[in-house]
Amino acid sequence: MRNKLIALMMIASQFALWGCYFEGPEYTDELDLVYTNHDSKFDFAGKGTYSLPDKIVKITGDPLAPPEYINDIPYGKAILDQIELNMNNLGWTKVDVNAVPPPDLQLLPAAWTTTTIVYGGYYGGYYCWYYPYYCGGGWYYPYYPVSSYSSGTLLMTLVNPNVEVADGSKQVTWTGALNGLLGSTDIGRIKKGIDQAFTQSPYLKTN
Amino acid sequence: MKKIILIVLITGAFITPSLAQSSFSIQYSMGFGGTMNNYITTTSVRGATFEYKLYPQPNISIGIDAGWNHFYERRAYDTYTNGTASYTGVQFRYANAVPIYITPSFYFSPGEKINPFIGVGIGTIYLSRYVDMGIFRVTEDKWHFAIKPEAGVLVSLSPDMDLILAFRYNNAFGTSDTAQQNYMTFNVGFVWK
Repeated sequence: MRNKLIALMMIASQFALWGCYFEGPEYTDELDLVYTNHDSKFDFAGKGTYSLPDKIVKITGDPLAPPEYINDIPYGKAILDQIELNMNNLGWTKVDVNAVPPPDLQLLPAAWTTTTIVYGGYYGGYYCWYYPYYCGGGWYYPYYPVSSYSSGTLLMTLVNPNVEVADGSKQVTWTGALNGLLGSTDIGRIKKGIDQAFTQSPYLKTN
Repeated sequence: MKKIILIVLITGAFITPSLAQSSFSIQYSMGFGGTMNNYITTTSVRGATFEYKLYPQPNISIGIDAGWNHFYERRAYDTYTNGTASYTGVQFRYANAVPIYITPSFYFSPGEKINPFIGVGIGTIYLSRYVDMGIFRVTEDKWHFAIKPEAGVLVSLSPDMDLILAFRYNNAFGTSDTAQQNYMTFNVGFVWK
């Protein structure tokens, strides 16, 4: 009887120790995610100019509401500067958003915070706020984009303004998304995420 | 399903058939190696096995066992690709294996202090795997047909209790859309006769 009790106590203590074995993320930055995707049929090497707005659209969920921008927060300019730095390093030349003829690609940044998770869909409303004359056509994605996350998200999209596809919409050639960064007070993490998005997209090089 | 099996095992431990001796065992189980290494490289330290056996002869038993092994690994910040998509972040990988077997076994030295044995298990493994990255989770749950060769030793502690040490190779055959999976376990526990 005594042996049985000792054996059962040894087994019970083993099961109890399982609770001391921690699993899963311990720090917020372990949930940071950088996602990129691109149209494999688009040849970036043959292009050279791009435009970048001086503000970042804040998506509120209503595509018909007046646009809001996050340029008034301290990170707006830092984000745009980091995007420009990476594009320049890849060989791209920045031109004015109203340049004639239009640039080879337009980089359109957007950001939002949400608790809704949608994967495999997309949100195309902010396209119109930059270029109203594109409205009505919507987006064309040759792949599944990331559309929203449960925390702060920065979305960067490279659109080809010179090619119309399907119902007159403009071709999306590349998407980069950072999740969990905009709510942070650490601009270093945001810059690291932007750098990573371009680092894992070597096909964006122009030569 | 697991509850039913557990009830059967526990009930069986207290109802001794008149025509054969029986035993009930609880074991701690460590999982490692095999093709599971392609998914999770770390050793599983969370696992258990429950066994109920009948002995029609002193050197032969037929039993049923059910177990659970939990695997976990934190993959460092890295880039993973899928088609034209690339993902960078920290990955948390998990796997739960629930093997259920019918287990005939042969004993080389019944009645001795040290009693080596070999056996085989035929049954199924429920394998649930999931990967967390950022706020996303990808899951895969499958039942596999499974076979388990086994070798071990019983060490007599008293007339009605043994210590069991066993090495098992759990082989889950592939399904129409899932590759073959396998992993090994080292079990240590007690057997009540």
